[in-house]
Amino acid sequence: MQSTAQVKTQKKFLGMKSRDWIGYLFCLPLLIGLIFFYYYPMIQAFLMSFQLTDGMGTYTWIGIQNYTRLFKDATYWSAVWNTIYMAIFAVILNVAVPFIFASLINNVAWGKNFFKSLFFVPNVVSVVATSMLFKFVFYPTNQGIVNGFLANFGIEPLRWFSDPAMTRFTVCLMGLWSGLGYNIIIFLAALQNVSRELYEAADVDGVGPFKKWWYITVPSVKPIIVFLFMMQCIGSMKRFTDVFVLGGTSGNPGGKLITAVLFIYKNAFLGSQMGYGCAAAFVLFAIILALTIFNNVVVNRRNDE
Amino acid sequence: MAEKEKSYSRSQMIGKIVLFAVLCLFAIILFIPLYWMVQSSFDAACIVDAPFPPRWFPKEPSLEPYRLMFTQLPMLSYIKNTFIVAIGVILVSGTSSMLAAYALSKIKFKGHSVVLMMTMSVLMIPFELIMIPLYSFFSQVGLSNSYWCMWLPGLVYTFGTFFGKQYLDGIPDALREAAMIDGAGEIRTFVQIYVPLMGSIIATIVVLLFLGAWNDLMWPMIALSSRAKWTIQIGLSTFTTEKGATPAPALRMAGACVSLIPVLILYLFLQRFIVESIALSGIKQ
Repeated sequence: MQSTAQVKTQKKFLGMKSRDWIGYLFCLPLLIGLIFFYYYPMIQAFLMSFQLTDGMGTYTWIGIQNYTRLFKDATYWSAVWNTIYMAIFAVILNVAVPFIFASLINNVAWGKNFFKSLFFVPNVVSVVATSMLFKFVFYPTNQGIVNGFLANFGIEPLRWFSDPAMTRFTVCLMGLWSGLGYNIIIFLAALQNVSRELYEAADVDGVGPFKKWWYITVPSVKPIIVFLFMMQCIGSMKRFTDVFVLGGTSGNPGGKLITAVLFIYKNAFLGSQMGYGCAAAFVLFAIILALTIFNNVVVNRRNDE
Repeated sequence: MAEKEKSYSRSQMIGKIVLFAVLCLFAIILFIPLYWMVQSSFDAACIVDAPFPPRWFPKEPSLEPYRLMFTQLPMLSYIKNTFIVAIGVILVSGTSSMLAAYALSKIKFKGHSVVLMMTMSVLMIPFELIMIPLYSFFSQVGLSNSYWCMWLPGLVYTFGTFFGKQYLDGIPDALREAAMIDGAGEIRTFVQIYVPLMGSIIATIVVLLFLGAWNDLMWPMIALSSRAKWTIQIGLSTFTTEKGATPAPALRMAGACVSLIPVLILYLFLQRFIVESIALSGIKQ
C-alpha cells in the first residue's frame, strides 16, 4: 500500500522514518504550546495549591492548608453558590428560549436567513460593552428603559441590578440577550436535519402544528438540547466578565455577584495569594469535571435506551 | 371543496403573516438597546446627565461625546494595541494550528493520534485553572506586561487544529502524493497545494480569532499592567469600575460604539464563516 512518495523517504533516524520527523516538525509549535502553556502550568497550579506563594519566587510548602481554609471560607462557598444559581437560570433561559425562536424562524415564510443574522448581532457585542449598556437598560428607577416600558402596564419599577435578590437573575437575562443568536444558529442547523418524511406523514394524518413540534421536532433535536445544556453549564461555571463589569471586585450588590472565577481573580491577582487561588481553581475544576462526567453518563444512558 | 381549500390557504396565510410579525417584533425589541446606545452616544445632553427619561432621539445631537472620548481617554492607543494583539494571535494560532492540522491529516506520522488526543484533552482544562501559574511564569521570565502573554498561549488553538484536520480530511491525499513524486517537499506541498484549497477554513479561523481577541477581557487585564499597553476592553471596563473617574454616560456609549465598529464590519462581510463555524461546532460534537 506504500506509495512511491513514501518509499522515497525511507531513511531511518532514531527508529523513525523521516516522514515521522517531518510530521513532528509540523506539530512543533503546537507541542511547544501544549507543554509550556497547558501541561506545565497545570502541574504548576497543582503544586502551587499546596503552597503559600505570591507566585514571584517565594514558596512555602503548607500541605493541604489552602484546601482546609477554602472549605471553611464562607465567601468561597457563597461565590460557588452564586455561580450555580446563575448557571441554573442561564441554562434554562439559553436553551429553551433559543429553541423556541429557532422553531419559529425555521417555519417563517420569508426572511429566514435575515432573522438568523439579525438575532446574532448582539453576540458580537463584547460582554464589557453589553454590561455597560444594560446598566442603563435595567436602570433601577422608572427612568430606565425596561422600567419605563413596564410602567405603561402599571408595574412598579424593579430594581434589577441593584436588588441583591434579583441581580443574579438580571445578569442571566442580559446573557440571554447576547447568547440568543448563537444557540439559534445551532438549533436551526439541527432543525434542518429533521426528516421531512415524518412531517409529511403527520400532515397526512392531519396532526396540528403544535403537536408536530412537540412529538416530532423536540425528540429529533434532543441530542442538541443535551449538548447545549452541557456547554451552557460549563460556560456558566466560568462566569467572570459580566459580573466583574457590573459589580466590581466586591460583587455589588451585597456580594451576590461574586462568582467562583471572580473569587479566584481577587485572591490570586489582587490579594497576591496565588496558592490559595490555585486551590480555589482546582475545586472549581473538580466541579466542572464532575458536571461533565455526570452529563456524559446521562447522555450515554439515554443513548443506550 | 374549492371553497374549503381557499379558506384553508387563507388561514395559512394569516398564520404566516402573524409569525413574521411576531419575529419582527422580537427583532425590534432585541435591537432597542443597541439603537439606544448609538443615539445616546450622539447626545451632548448626556455628557452631564444620564440620558433619562429614555428617549428615541438625541436631545442635543452632536459629535461632542466622541471628541471628548478621543481627547480625554487614550482610545486610539487602546484600538491600536488591540489590533496588535489580534493580528499576533491570528498569525501564531493560525500558523500553528494549520501546520498541525496538515501533519495530522496528511503526513499521518507515527503517533499522530496521540498528538490529536493531547490537543483535544486541552478542552478539559479551563483557562481559569492555568491562568495563575501562567501569569507567574510570564513574570518570572520577564515577559509580563508584554503582548507575548497574549501571543504565546495562542500556539494551542484546539478549534483550528481539529476543524482544520477535518477539512483537510475532505481533500484527497492524491494531491500530496502527486506533488511529492514531482519532487516537492512537505512544506512546499503544504504551502503551494493545500493552503490555497483551505480558503474557507482559514477565513473562519481568522474571523473567530479576531472576534475572540477583540472582545477578551480577563487575561489581557491580568497580564497587561500598564495603561499604555491596554486593549480596548480593559479601557472600556475601567469606565465603570475605576473609582473616582466618572465618565459621562454619553462617553461610555461612544466608547462602546467605537469598540463595536470593527467586529460589526467583520460580521457584516464575513458572517457566512461565523454562522458556519457555529453550526459546525454544534453538529460535530
